[in-house]
Amino acid sequence: MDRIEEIVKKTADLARLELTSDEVAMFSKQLSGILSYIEKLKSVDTTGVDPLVTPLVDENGNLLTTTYLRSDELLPESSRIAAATVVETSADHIYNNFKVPQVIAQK
Amino acid sequence: MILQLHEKLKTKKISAVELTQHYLKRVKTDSNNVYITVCDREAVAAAEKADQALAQGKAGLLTGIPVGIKDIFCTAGVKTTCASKILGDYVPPYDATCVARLKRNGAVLLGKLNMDEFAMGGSNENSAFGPVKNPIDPRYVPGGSSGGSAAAVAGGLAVAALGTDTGGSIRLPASYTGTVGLKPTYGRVSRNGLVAFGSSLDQAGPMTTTVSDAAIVLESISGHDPFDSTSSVLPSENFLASMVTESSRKLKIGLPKEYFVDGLQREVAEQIDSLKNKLLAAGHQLIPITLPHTEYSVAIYYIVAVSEASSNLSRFDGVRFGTRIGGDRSLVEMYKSTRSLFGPEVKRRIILGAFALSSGYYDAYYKKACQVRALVKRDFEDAFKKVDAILAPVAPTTAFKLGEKTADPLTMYLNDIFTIPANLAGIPAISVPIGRDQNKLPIGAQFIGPHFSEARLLALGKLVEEKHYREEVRHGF
Repeated sequence: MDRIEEIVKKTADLARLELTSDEVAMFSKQLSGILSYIEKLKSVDTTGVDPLVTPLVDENGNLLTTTYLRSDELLPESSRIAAATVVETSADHIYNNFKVPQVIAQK
Repeated sequence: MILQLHEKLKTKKISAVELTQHYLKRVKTDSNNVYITVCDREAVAAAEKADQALAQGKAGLLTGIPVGIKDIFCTAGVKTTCASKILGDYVPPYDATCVARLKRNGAVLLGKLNMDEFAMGGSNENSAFGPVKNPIDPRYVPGGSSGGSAAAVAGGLAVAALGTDTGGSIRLPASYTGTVGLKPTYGRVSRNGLVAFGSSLDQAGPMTTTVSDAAIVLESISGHDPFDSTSSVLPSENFLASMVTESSRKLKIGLPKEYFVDGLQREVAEQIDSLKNKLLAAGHQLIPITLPHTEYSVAIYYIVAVSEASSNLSRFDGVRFGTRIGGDRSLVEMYKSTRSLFGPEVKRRIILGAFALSSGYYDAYYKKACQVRALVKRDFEDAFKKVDAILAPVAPTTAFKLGEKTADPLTMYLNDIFTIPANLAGIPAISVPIGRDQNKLPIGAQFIGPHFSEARLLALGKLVEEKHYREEVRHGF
Protein backbone atom coordinates (compact mmCIF):
# COMPACT_ATOMS: atom_id res chain seq x y z
CA MET A 1 0.00 0.00 0.00
CA ASP A 2 1.13 3.52 -0.76
CA ARG A 3 2.79 5.50 1.99
CA ILE A 4 0.40 8.39 1.38
CA GLU A 5 -2.56 6.08 2.01
CA GLU A 6 -1.04 5.04 5.32
CA ILE A 7 -0.57 8.70 6.26
CA VAL A 8 -4.17 9.55 5.31
CA LYS A 9 -5.52 6.63 7.35
CA LYS A 10 -3.38 7.40 10.40
CA THR A 11 -4.11 11.14 10.29
CA ALA A 12 -7.84 10.54 9.82
CA ASP A 13 -7.83 8.24 12.83
CA LEU A 14 -6.07 10.88 14.96
CA ALA A 15 -8.57 13.50 13.75
CA ARG A 16 -11.40 11.09 14.63
CA LEU A 17 -12.64 10.80 11.07
CA GLU A 18 -13.96 7.51 9.77
CA LEU A 19 -13.13 7.13 6.08
CA THR A 20 -14.44 4.60 3.59
CA SER A 21 -11.87 2.88 1.36
CA ASP A 22 -13.09 5.03 -1.53
CA GLU A 23 -12.48 8.16 0.52
CA VAL A 24 -9.00 6.96 1.48
CA ALA A 25 -8.19 6.45 -2.21
CA MET A 26 -9.65 9.80 -3.26
CA PHE A 27 -8.06 11.85 -0.46
CA SER A 28 -4.69 10.12 -0.99
CA LYS A 29 -4.67 11.08 -4.66
CA GLN A 30 -5.79 14.65 -3.97
CA LEU A 31 -3.50 15.18 -0.99
CA SER A 32 -0.43 13.95 -2.83
CA GLY A 33 -1.20 16.52 -5.52
CA ILE A 34 -1.62 19.28 -2.93
CA LEU A 35 1.49 18.21 -1.00
CA SER A 36 3.67 18.22 -4.10
CA TYR A 37 2.35 21.72 -4.92
CA ILE A 38 3.21 22.85 -1.39
CA GLU A 39 6.77 21.56 -1.86
CA LYS A 40 7.52 24.83 -3.65
CA LEU A 41 7.88 26.52 -0.24
CA LYS A 42 11.10 24.57 0.31
CA SER A 43 12.86 26.69 -2.33
CA VAL A 44 12.34 29.89 -0.28
CA ASP A 45 15.29 30.94 1.88
CA THR A 46 13.82 31.61 5.32
CA THR A 47 17.04 31.66 7.31
CA GLY A 48 16.58 33.91 10.33
CA VAL A 49 12.92 34.71 9.48
CA ASP A 50 10.57 34.61 12.47
CA PRO A 51 7.39 32.67 11.68
CA LEU A 52 4.33 34.93 11.41
CA VAL A 53 1.64 33.07 13.31
CA THR A 54 -0.93 35.87 13.39
CA PRO A 55 -0.97 39.29 11.69
CA LEU A 56 -2.39 41.13 14.70
CA VAL A 57 -1.15 44.74 14.78
CA ASP A 58 -1.58 47.76 17.03
CA GLU A 59 -3.22 51.04 15.91
CA ASN A 60 -0.01 52.04 14.12
CA GLY A 61 0.31 48.80 12.22
CA ASN A 62 3.12 47.37 14.37
CA LEU A 63 2.96 43.66 15.05
CA LEU A 64 1.56 42.81 18.48
CA THR A 65 2.93 39.98 20.54
CA THR A 66 0.02 39.74 22.95
CA THR A 67 -3.70 40.00 22.43
CA TYR A 68 -6.01 42.51 24.09
CA LEU A 69 -7.05 40.88 27.33
CA ARG A 70 -9.90 42.29 29.38
CA SER A 71 -9.57 42.69 33.10
CA ASP A 72 -10.25 39.56 35.11
CA GLU A 73 -13.58 40.67 36.52
CA LEU A 74 -16.95 39.02 36.74
CA LEU A 75 -19.28 40.45 34.10
CA PRO A 76 -22.69 41.77 35.11
CA GLU A 77 -25.34 39.08 34.90
CA SER A 78 -27.04 40.79 31.92
CA SER A 79 -24.00 40.19 29.70
CA ARG A 80 -23.45 36.60 30.75
CA ILE A 81 -25.04 33.48 29.35
CA ALA A 82 -26.26 31.10 32.02
CA ALA A 83 -24.54 27.71 32.12
CA ALA A 84 -27.97 26.08 31.91
CA THR A 85 -28.64 27.88 28.62
CA VAL A 86 -25.32 26.74 27.18
CA VAL A 87 -25.71 23.07 28.06
CA GLU A 88 -29.27 23.22 26.76
CA THR A 89 -27.88 23.38 23.20
CA SER A 90 -25.94 20.12 23.61
CA ALA A 91 -27.07 16.66 22.58
CA ASP A 92 -27.13 15.29 26.12
CA HIS A 93 -26.64 16.90 29.50
CA ILE A 94 -27.31 16.42 33.16
CA TYR A 95 -27.81 19.47 35.41
CA ASN A 96 -25.19 21.96 34.17
CA ASN A 97 -22.88 19.32 32.74
CA PHE A 98 -22.40 17.82 29.29
CA LYS A 99 -23.02 14.10 29.28
CA VAL A 100 -20.84 11.75 27.25
CA PRO A 101 -20.76 7.96 26.83
CA GLN A 102 -18.95 6.01 29.50
CA VAL A 103 -15.19 6.43 29.14
CA ILE A 104 -13.89 3.94 31.74
CA ALA A 105 -15.31 0.45 31.39
CA GLN A 106 -17.23 -1.13 34.27
CA LYS A 107 -16.07 -4.42 35.68
CA MET B 1 -28.83 52.49 -1.64
CA ILE B 2 -29.13 52.62 2.18
CA LEU B 3 -29.02 56.43 2.14
CA GLN B 4 -31.90 56.59 -0.36
CA LEU B 5 -33.95 54.02 1.56
CA HIS B 6 -33.27 55.88 4.81
CA GLU B 7 -34.63 59.05 3.21
CA LYS B 8 -37.77 57.20 2.05
CA LEU B 9 -38.27 55.70 5.50
CA LYS B 10 -37.75 59.03 7.23
CA THR B 11 -40.14 60.88 4.94
CA LYS B 12 -42.69 58.04 5.31
CA LYS B 13 -42.75 57.27 1.58
CA ILE B 14 -42.38 53.66 2.70
CA SER B 15 -42.60 52.00 6.12
CA ALA B 16 -39.97 49.62 7.49
CA VAL B 17 -42.61 46.87 7.56
CA GLU B 18 -43.44 47.44 3.88
CA LEU B 19 -39.76 47.40 2.98
CA THR B 20 -39.18 44.17 4.91
CA GLN B 21 -42.24 42.56 3.33
CA HIS B 22 -41.00 43.57 -0.12
CA TYR B 23 -37.78 41.63 0.50
CA LEU B 24 -39.47 38.67 2.22
CA LYS B 25 -41.73 38.33 -0.81
CA ARG B 26 -38.72 38.27 -3.13
CA VAL B 27 -36.98 35.73 -0.87
CA LYS B 28 -40.00 33.41 -1.14
CA THR B 29 -39.72 33.29 -4.93
CA ASP B 30 -35.93 32.75 -4.93
CA SER B 31 -34.73 29.91 -7.13
CA ASN B 32 -30.99 30.27 -6.48
CA ASN B 33 -30.90 28.59 -3.04
CA VAL B 34 -29.66 31.76 -1.37
CA TYR B 35 -31.11 31.44 2.14
CA ILE B 36 -30.76 28.51 4.54
CA THR B 37 -33.13 29.99 7.13
CA VAL B 38 -35.65 32.79 6.66
CA CYS B 39 -36.84 34.67 9.78
CA ASP B 40 -40.22 36.01 8.58
CA ARG B 41 -41.83 36.65 11.95
CA GLU B 42 -38.72 38.03 13.65
CA ALA B 43 -38.05 40.28 10.66
CA VAL B 44 -41.54 41.79 10.66
CA ALA B 45 -41.35 42.31 14.44
CA ALA B 46 -37.98 44.05 14.06
CA ALA B 47 -39.40 46.19 11.25
CA GLU B 48 -42.32 47.22 13.48
CA LYS B 49 -39.84 48.32 16.11
CA ALA B 50 -37.92 50.21 13.43
CA ASP B 51 -41.11 52.02 12.42
CA GLN B 52 -41.59 53.09 16.05
CA ALA B 53 -38.02 54.40 16.19
CA LEU B 54 -38.61 56.26 12.92
CA ALA B 55 -41.83 57.79 14.27
CA GLN B 56 -39.98 58.93 17.38
CA GLY B 57 -37.20 60.47 15.30
CA LYS B 58 -34.66 58.05 16.79
CA ALA B 59 -33.69 56.35 13.54
CA GLY B 60 -30.13 55.81 12.37
CA LEU B 61 -29.04 55.01 8.83
CA LEU B 62 -29.59 51.27 9.34
CA THR B 63 -32.95 51.53 11.07
CA GLY B 64 -35.43 49.38 9.17
CA ILE B 65 -32.88 48.24 6.58
CA PRO B 66 -33.37 44.51 5.74
CA VAL B 67 -30.09 42.59 5.82
CA GLY B 68 -29.01 38.98 5.35
CA ILE B 69 -26.37 37.27 7.47
CA LYS B 70 -24.01 34.53 6.32
CA ASP B 71 -24.91 31.39 8.26
CA ILE B 72 -21.49 31.39 9.95
CA PHE B 73 -22.55 34.15 12.40
CA CYS B 74 -24.28 33.00 15.57
CA THR B 75 -27.79 34.41 15.91
CA ALA B 76 -29.65 34.10 19.19
CA GLY B 77 -32.65 31.82 18.82
CA VAL B 78 -32.09 31.39 15.07
CA LYS B 79 -30.55 28.24 13.62
CA THR B 80 -26.86 28.65 12.71
CA THR B 81 -25.71 25.75 10.53
CA CYS B 82 -22.49 26.97 8.91
CA ALA B 83 -23.93 25.03 5.93
CA SER B 84 -22.98 21.79 7.67
CA LYS B 85 -25.05 18.80 8.70
CA ILE B 86 -23.05 18.66 11.94
CA LEU B 87 -24.65 21.98 13.00
CA GLY B 88 -27.91 21.25 11.15
CA ASP B 89 -30.10 21.89 14.21
CA TYR B 90 -27.84 24.17 16.22
CA VAL B 91 -29.57 27.20 17.74
CA PRO B 92 -27.03 29.47 19.47
CA PRO B 93 -27.93 31.18 22.74
CA TYR B 94 -26.28 34.46 21.72
CA ASP B 95 -25.68 36.86 18.82
CA ALA B 96 -22.27 37.30 17.23
CA THR B 97 -20.99 40.78 18.12
CA CYS B 98 -21.41 41.93 14.48
CA VAL B 99 -25.02 40.78 14.46
CA ALA B 100 -25.75 42.37 17.84
CA ARG B 101 -24.29 45.66 16.60
CA LEU B 102 -26.34 45.63 13.38
CA LYS B 103 -29.48 44.89 15.39
CA ARG B 104 -28.66 47.64 17.87
CA ASN B 105 -28.42 50.02 14.90
CA GLY B 106 -31.94 49.01 13.88
CA ALA B 107 -31.16 46.67 10.96
CA VAL B 108 -33.79 44.02 10.23
CA LEU B 109 -32.43 40.48 9.98
CA LEU B 110 -34.17 38.67 7.12
CA GLY B 111 -32.42 35.36 7.61
CA LYS B 112 -29.29 33.26 7.31
CA LEU B 113 -27.47 32.92 4.02
CA ASN B 114 -26.09 29.86 2.29
CA MET B 115 -22.32 29.40 2.08
CA ASP B 116 -19.65 26.75 1.59
CA GLU B 117 -19.61 24.36 4.54
CA PHE B 118 -17.51 25.98 7.30
CA ALA B 119 -16.54 28.64 4.72
CA MET B 120 -14.37 26.12 2.92
CA GLY B 121 -14.66 26.71 -0.79
CA GLY B 122 -14.53 29.26 -3.55
CA SER B 123 -17.69 28.43 -5.46
CA ASN B 124 -20.43 27.78 -2.88
CA GLU B 125 -20.77 24.23 -4.17
CA ASN B 126 -19.70 22.74 -0.82
CA SER B 127 -22.87 23.54 1.13
CA ALA B 128 -24.69 20.65 2.79
CA PHE B 129 -27.84 22.47 1.70
CA GLY B 130 -26.94 22.48 -1.99
CA PRO B 131 -25.07 24.96 -4.16
CA VAL B 132 -26.03 28.61 -4.60
CA LYS B 133 -26.55 29.78 -8.17
CA ASN B 134 -25.34 33.10 -9.49
CA PRO B 135 -28.35 35.44 -9.91
CA ILE B 136 -26.65 37.12 -12.87
CA ASP B 137 -26.72 33.77 -14.72
CA PRO B 138 -27.81 30.64 -12.80
CA ARG B 139 -25.57 28.37 -14.86
CA TYR B 140 -22.61 29.91 -13.08
CA VAL B 141 -21.33 29.77 -9.49
CA PRO B 142 -21.69 32.92 -7.36
CA GLY B 143 -18.20 32.39 -5.89
CA GLY B 144 -17.58 31.38 -2.32
CA SER B 145 -17.53 30.97 0.44
CA SER B 146 -19.93 33.90 1.05
CA GLY B 147 -21.89 32.96 -2.08
CA GLY B 148 -25.31 33.32 -0.47
CA SER B 149 -24.41 36.80 0.81
CA ALA B 150 -23.28 37.91 -2.65
CA ALA B 151 -26.27 36.33 -4.39
CA ALA B 152 -28.68 37.94 -1.88
CA VAL B 153 -27.33 41.41 -2.57
CA ALA B 154 -26.98 40.93 -6.34
CA GLY B 155 -30.40 39.29 -6.67
CA GLY B 156 -32.29 41.77 -4.50
CA LEU B 157 -32.96 39.41 -1.59
CA ALA B 158 -31.37 41.75 0.99
CA VAL B 159 -30.26 45.37 0.91
CA ALA B 160 -26.90 44.38 2.39
CA ALA B 161 -25.27 41.27 3.79
CA LEU B 162 -22.50 40.18 6.10
CA GLY B 163 -19.86 37.81 4.80
CA THR B 164 -16.55 36.51 6.04
CA ASP B 165 -13.22 36.39 4.22
CA THR B 166 -10.48 33.89 5.11
CA GLY B 167 -8.76 33.70 1.72
CA GLY B 168 -11.05 35.78 -0.48
CA SER B 169 -14.50 34.59 0.59
CA ILE B 170 -16.00 38.11 0.52
CA ARG B 171 -14.12 39.54 -2.45
CA LEU B 172 -14.39 36.61 -4.84
CA PRO B 173 -18.20 36.25 -4.65
CA ALA B 174 -18.54 40.05 -4.76
CA SER B 175 -16.51 40.03 -7.96
CA TYR B 176 -18.51 37.15 -9.51
CA THR B 177 -21.87 38.81 -8.78
CA GLY B 178 -21.13 42.48 -9.48
CA THR B 179 -21.39 43.57 -5.86
CA VAL B 180 -19.12 45.44 -3.46
CA GLY B 181 -17.24 43.40 -0.86
CA LEU B 182 -14.87 44.69 1.79
CA LYS B 183 -12.48 42.57 3.81
CA PRO B 184 -11.40 44.79 6.70
CA THR B 185 -8.03 44.81 8.47
CA TYR B 186 -7.54 41.73 10.66
CA GLY B 187 -8.89 42.84 14.05
CA ARG B 188 -11.07 45.69 12.73
CA VAL B 189 -14.24 43.64 13.24
CA SER B 190 -14.88 41.31 16.17
CA ARG B 191 -14.83 37.58 15.43
CA ASN B 192 -16.85 36.80 18.54
CA GLY B 193 -19.71 34.54 17.54
CA LEU B 194 -18.25 33.58 14.16
CA VAL B 195 -17.82 29.85 13.71
CA ALA B 196 -14.02 29.76 13.48
CA PHE B 197 -12.23 28.46 10.37
CA GLY B 198 -8.74 30.00 10.15
CA SER B 199 -8.45 32.16 13.23
CA SER B 200 -5.43 34.17 12.05
CA LEU B 201 -7.10 34.87 8.70
CA ASP B 202 -10.88 35.15 9.26
CA GLN B 203 -12.41 38.59 9.06
CA ALA B 204 -16.06 39.62 8.73
CA GLY B 205 -17.14 42.40 6.41
CA PRO B 206 -19.93 44.01 4.40
CA MET B 207 -21.28 42.90 1.01
CA THR B 208 -23.43 45.58 -0.59
CA THR B 209 -24.67 47.09 -3.85
CA THR B 210 -22.75 50.35 -3.39
CA VAL B 211 -19.53 51.54 -1.78
CA SER B 212 -21.40 53.96 0.50
CA ASP B 213 -23.47 51.05 1.81
CA ALA B 214 -20.27 49.16 2.61
CA ALA B 215 -19.06 52.22 4.56
CA ILE B 216 -22.31 52.38 6.55
CA VAL B 217 -22.30 48.68 7.44
CA LEU B 218 -18.59 48.72 8.28
CA GLU B 219 -19.12 51.61 10.71
CA SER B 220 -21.79 49.59 12.48
CA ILE B 221 -19.75 46.40 12.92
CA SER B 222 -16.23 47.78 13.59
CA GLY B 223 -14.54 48.55 16.87
CA HIS B 224 -13.08 46.77 19.86
CA ASP B 225 -14.98 43.95 21.48
CA PRO B 226 -13.85 42.65 24.88
CA PHE B 227 -15.12 39.21 23.79
CA ASP B 228 -12.48 38.99 21.03
CA SER B 229 -8.95 39.48 22.30
CA THR B 230 -7.72 39.99 18.72
CA SER B 231 -10.14 42.83 17.98
CA SER B 232 -8.33 46.15 17.61
CA VAL B 233 -8.71 48.88 20.22
CA LEU B 234 -8.98 51.37 17.37
CA PRO B 235 -12.51 52.81 17.59
CA SER B 236 -14.93 52.52 14.68
CA GLU B 237 -15.23 55.63 12.55
CA ASN B 238 -17.77 57.43 10.41
CA PHE B 239 -16.53 55.80 7.22
CA LEU B 240 -18.96 57.79 5.03
CA ALA B 241 -17.29 60.98 6.23
CA SER B 242 -13.70 59.69 6.27
CA MET B 243 -14.23 58.28 2.77
CA VAL B 244 -15.04 61.78 1.54
CA THR B 245 -11.97 63.24 3.29
CA GLU B 246 -9.76 60.55 1.75
CA SER B 247 -11.20 61.12 -1.72
CA SER B 248 -9.57 64.55 -1.94
CA ARG B 249 -6.08 63.00 -1.67
CA LYS B 250 -3.99 62.32 -4.73
CA LEU B 251 -2.63 58.82 -4.26
CA LYS B 252 0.21 56.68 -5.47
CA ILE B 253 -1.34 53.42 -6.62
CA GLY B 254 0.87 50.37 -7.03
CA LEU B 255 0.50 47.84 -9.84
CA PRO B 256 2.16 44.59 -8.71
CA LYS B 257 3.67 42.81 -11.69
CA GLU B 258 2.95 39.41 -10.11
CA TYR B 259 -0.80 40.07 -10.39
CA PHE B 260 -0.78 40.95 -14.09
CA VAL B 261 0.35 37.68 -15.61
CA ASP B 262 -0.50 35.25 -18.39
CA GLY B 263 -3.74 33.47 -17.69
CA LEU B 264 -5.59 36.65 -16.81
CA GLN B 265 -8.83 36.69 -18.83
CA ARG B 266 -8.52 39.23 -21.65
CA GLU B 267 -11.59 41.25 -20.62
CA VAL B 268 -10.43 41.39 -16.99
CA ALA B 269 -7.11 42.88 -18.13
CA GLU B 270 -8.87 45.28 -20.52
CA GLN B 271 -11.25 46.61 -17.88
CA ILE B 272 -8.40 47.13 -15.43
CA ASP B 273 -6.46 49.00 -18.14
CA SER B 274 -9.45 51.20 -18.76
CA LEU B 275 -9.79 51.80 -15.01
CA LYS B 276 -6.11 52.80 -14.82
CA ASN B 277 -6.81 55.65 -17.25
CA LYS B 278 -9.65 56.89 -15.06
CA LEU B 279 -7.39 56.82 -12.02
CA LEU B 280 -4.76 58.84 -13.88
CA ALA B 281 -7.40 61.29 -15.09
CA ALA B 282 -8.48 61.76 -11.45
CA GLY B 283 -4.94 62.87 -10.61
CA HIS B 284 -3.62 59.66 -9.06
CA GLN B 285 -0.24 58.22 -9.97
CA LEU B 286 0.31 54.63 -11.09
CA ILE B 287 3.55 53.00 -10.00
CA PRO B 288 4.85 49.55 -10.97
CA ILE B 289 5.73 47.53 -7.87
CA THR B 290 6.75 44.00 -7.02
CA LEU B 291 5.40 41.58 -4.39
CA PRO B 292 7.95 38.82 -4.98
CA HIS B 293 6.49 36.15 -2.67
CA THR B 294 2.99 36.24 -4.23
CA GLU B 295 3.51 32.88 -5.98
CA TYR B 296 3.87 31.13 -2.61
CA SER B 297 0.62 32.52 -1.17
CA VAL B 298 -1.64 29.61 -2.10
CA ALA B 299 0.85 27.07 -0.72
CA ILE B 300 1.19 29.02 2.55
CA TYR B 301 -2.56 29.42 2.81
CA TYR B 302 -3.31 25.74 2.31
CA ILE B 303 -1.02 24.90 5.19
CA VAL B 304 -1.94 27.70 7.61
CA ALA B 305 -5.70 27.75 6.98
CA VAL B 306 -6.10 23.98 7.14
CA SER B 307 -3.91 23.68 10.24
CA GLU B 308 -6.03 26.25 12.05
CA ALA B 309 -9.18 24.59 10.71
CA SER B 310 -8.19 21.13 11.90
CA SER B 311 -7.69 22.58 15.36
CA ASN B 312 -10.85 24.73 15.32
CA LEU B 313 -13.07 21.95 14.01
CA SER B 314 -12.01 19.54 16.73
CA ARG B 315 -14.75 21.17 18.83
CA PHE B 316 -17.37 19.42 16.70
CA ASP B 317 -17.37 16.22 18.67
CA GLY B 318 -21.05 15.69 19.40
CA VAL B 319 -20.64 16.84 23.00
CA ARG B 320 -21.11 20.57 23.33
CA PHE B 321 -23.25 21.59 20.38
CA GLY B 322 -24.74 20.29 17.21
CA THR B 323 -25.80 16.82 16.34
CA ARG B 324 -24.59 13.64 18.08
CA ILE B 325 -24.55 10.27 16.40
CA GLY B 326 -23.82 6.95 18.10
CA GLY B 327 -22.16 6.60 21.46
CA ASP B 328 -23.52 3.18 22.37
CA ARG B 329 -20.09 1.58 22.21
CA SER B 330 -17.52 4.19 23.16
CA LEU B 331 -16.60 7.87 23.19
CA VAL B 332 -14.26 7.48 20.20
CA GLU B 333 -16.99 5.69 18.24
CA MET B 334 -19.31 8.61 19.01
CA TYR B 335 -16.70 11.14 17.85
CA LYS B 336 -16.17 9.29 14.59
CA SER B 337 -19.87 8.71 13.87
CA THR B 338 -20.71 12.34 14.63
CA ARG B 339 -17.84 13.69 12.55
CA SER B 340 -18.96 11.61 9.57
CA LEU B 341 -21.46 14.44 9.08
CA PHE B 342 -18.66 16.65 7.71
CA GLY B 343 -18.66 17.03 3.91
CA PRO B 344 -15.70 15.89 1.78
CA GLU B 345 -13.98 19.29 1.50
CA VAL B 346 -14.07 19.69 5.28
CA LYS B 347 -12.66 16.21 5.85
CA ARG B 348 -9.95 16.84 3.25
CA ARG B 349 -8.86 20.02 5.00
CA ILE B 350 -8.95 18.52 8.49
CA ILE B 351 -6.70 15.66 7.33
CA LEU B 352 -4.29 18.00 5.56
CA GLY B 353 -4.18 20.30 8.58
CA ALA B 354 -3.72 17.54 11.12
CA PHE B 355 -0.92 16.17 8.94
CA ALA B 356 0.83 19.57 8.62
CA LEU B 357 0.76 19.93 12.42
CA SER B 358 1.79 16.37 13.21
CA SER B 359 5.01 15.39 14.87
CA GLY B 360 7.83 15.08 12.35
CA TYR B 361 6.14 17.31 9.76
CA TYR B 362 5.42 20.47 11.80
CA ASP B 363 8.71 22.22 10.98
CA ALA B 364 8.66 21.28 7.30
CA TYR B 365 5.09 22.42 6.75
CA TYR B 366 3.46 24.65 9.37
CA LYS B 367 6.55 26.48 10.60
CA LYS B 368 7.96 26.89 7.09
CA ALA B 369 4.61 28.27 5.87
CA CYS B 370 4.53 30.80 8.72
CA GLN B 371 8.06 31.92 7.84
CA VAL B 372 7.18 32.50 4.19
CA ARG B 373 4.00 34.20 5.42
CA ALA B 374 6.24 36.72 7.23
CA LEU B 375 7.96 37.39 3.89
CA VAL B 376 4.61 37.98 2.16
CA LYS B 377 3.77 40.53 4.86
CA ARG B 378 7.19 42.13 4.43
CA ASP B 379 6.57 42.44 0.66
CA PHE B 380 3.49 44.53 1.42
CA GLU B 381 5.32 46.64 4.02
CA ASP B 382 8.02 47.42 1.45
CA ALA B 383 5.40 48.23 -1.17
CA PHE B 384 3.49 50.57 1.14
CA LYS B 385 6.66 52.60 1.67
CA LYS B 386 6.29 53.56 -1.99
CA VAL B 387 2.56 53.51 -2.62
CA ASP B 388 -0.69 54.31 -0.77
CA ALA B 389 -2.76 51.46 -2.21
CA ILE B 390 -2.51 48.61 -4.67
CA LEU B 391 -4.76 47.87 -7.66
CA ALA B 392 -5.18 44.23 -8.70
CA PRO B 393 -7.65 41.83 -10.23
CA VAL B 394 -9.78 39.86 -7.75
CA ALA B 395 -9.56 36.62 -9.72
CA PRO B 396 -7.92 35.55 -12.97
CA THR B 397 -11.32 35.04 -14.63
CA THR B 398 -15.00 35.81 -14.22
CA ALA B 399 -17.36 33.22 -12.68
CA PHE B 400 -17.09 29.61 -13.88
CA LYS B 401 -19.89 27.13 -14.47
CA LEU B 402 -21.35 24.97 -11.69
CA GLY B 403 -19.46 21.66 -11.53
CA GLU B 404 -16.58 22.91 -13.66
CA LYS B 405 -13.89 22.77 -10.97
CA THR B 406 -15.29 20.41 -8.36
CA ALA B 407 -13.25 17.37 -9.43
CA ASP B 408 -9.86 18.88 -8.71
CA PRO B 409 -9.48 20.76 -5.42
CA LEU B 410 -6.08 22.20 -6.37
CA THR B 411 -7.51 23.98 -9.46
CA MET B 412 -10.19 25.45 -7.22
CA TYR B 413 -7.57 26.54 -4.64
CA LEU B 414 -5.42 28.27 -7.28
CA ASN B 415 -8.35 30.54 -8.10
CA ASP B 416 -7.66 32.37 -4.81
CA ILE B 417 -4.14 33.45 -5.80
CA PHE B 418 -4.94 37.21 -5.88
CA THR B 419 -7.11 37.35 -2.76
CA ILE B 420 -5.13 35.21 -0.30
CA PRO B 421 -2.12 37.56 0.16
CA ALA B 422 -4.22 40.26 1.93
CA ASN B 423 -5.44 37.67 4.45
CA LEU B 424 -1.92 36.39 5.08
CA ALA B 425 -0.74 39.96 5.77
CA GLY B 426 -3.88 40.94 7.71
CA ILE B 427 -4.49 44.01 5.55
CA PRO B 428 -7.78 45.34 4.14
CA ALA B 429 -8.98 45.01 0.55
CA ILE B 430 -12.14 46.02 -1.29
CA SER B 431 -13.62 44.35 -4.36
CA VAL B 432 -15.67 46.56 -6.67
CA PRO B 433 -17.40 45.79 -9.98
CA ILE B 434 -15.61 47.30 -12.99
CA GLY B 435 -17.58 45.91 -15.94
CA ARG B 436 -18.89 42.77 -17.63
CA ASP B 437 -17.28 40.24 -19.96
CA GLN B 438 -18.72 39.03 -23.29
CA ASN B 439 -20.92 36.50 -21.45
CA LYS B 440 -22.32 39.43 -19.43
CA LEU B 441 -20.62 38.12 -16.30
CA PRO B 442 -19.36 40.71 -13.80
CA ILE B 443 -15.67 41.58 -13.54
CA GLY B 444 -14.22 42.82 -10.25
CA ALA B 445 -11.08 44.70 -9.27
CA GLN B 446 -9.62 45.07 -5.82
CA PHE B 447 -7.80 47.82 -4.00
CA ILE B 448 -5.51 46.61 -1.24
CA GLY B 449 -4.23 49.01 1.40
CA PRO B 450 -2.08 49.13 4.53
CA HIS B 451 -3.56 48.29 7.95
CA PHE B 452 -6.64 50.35 8.85
CA SER B 453 -6.82 52.13 5.49
CA GLU B 454 -10.45 51.13 4.89
CA ALA B 455 -11.56 54.74 4.33
CA ARG B 456 -8.98 55.14 1.57
CA LEU B 457 -10.09 51.90 -0.10
CA LEU B 458 -13.72 53.01 0.11
CA ALA B 459 -12.76 56.34 -1.49
CA LEU B 460 -11.10 54.50 -4.37
CA GLY B 461 -14.15 52.27 -4.72
CA LYS B 462 -16.36 55.34 -4.83
CA LEU B 463 -14.18 56.79 -7.58
CA VAL B 464 -14.70 53.61 -9.62
CA GLU B 465 -18.47 53.98 -9.19
CA GLU B 466 -18.45 57.62 -10.19
CA LYS B 467 -15.94 57.62 -13.04
CA HIS B 468 -15.74 54.09 -14.39
CA TYR B 469 -18.57 51.63 -13.79
CA ARG B 470 -21.57 50.99 -11.65
CA GLU B 471 -23.73 47.86 -11.60
CA GLU B 472 -27.43 48.35 -11.98
CA VAL B 473 -29.30 47.57 -8.74
CA ARG B 474 -32.09 45.02 -9.37
CA HIS B 475 -34.14 45.00 -6.18
CA GLY B 476 -37.57 45.49 -7.78
CA PHE B 477 -38.39 49.05 -6.72
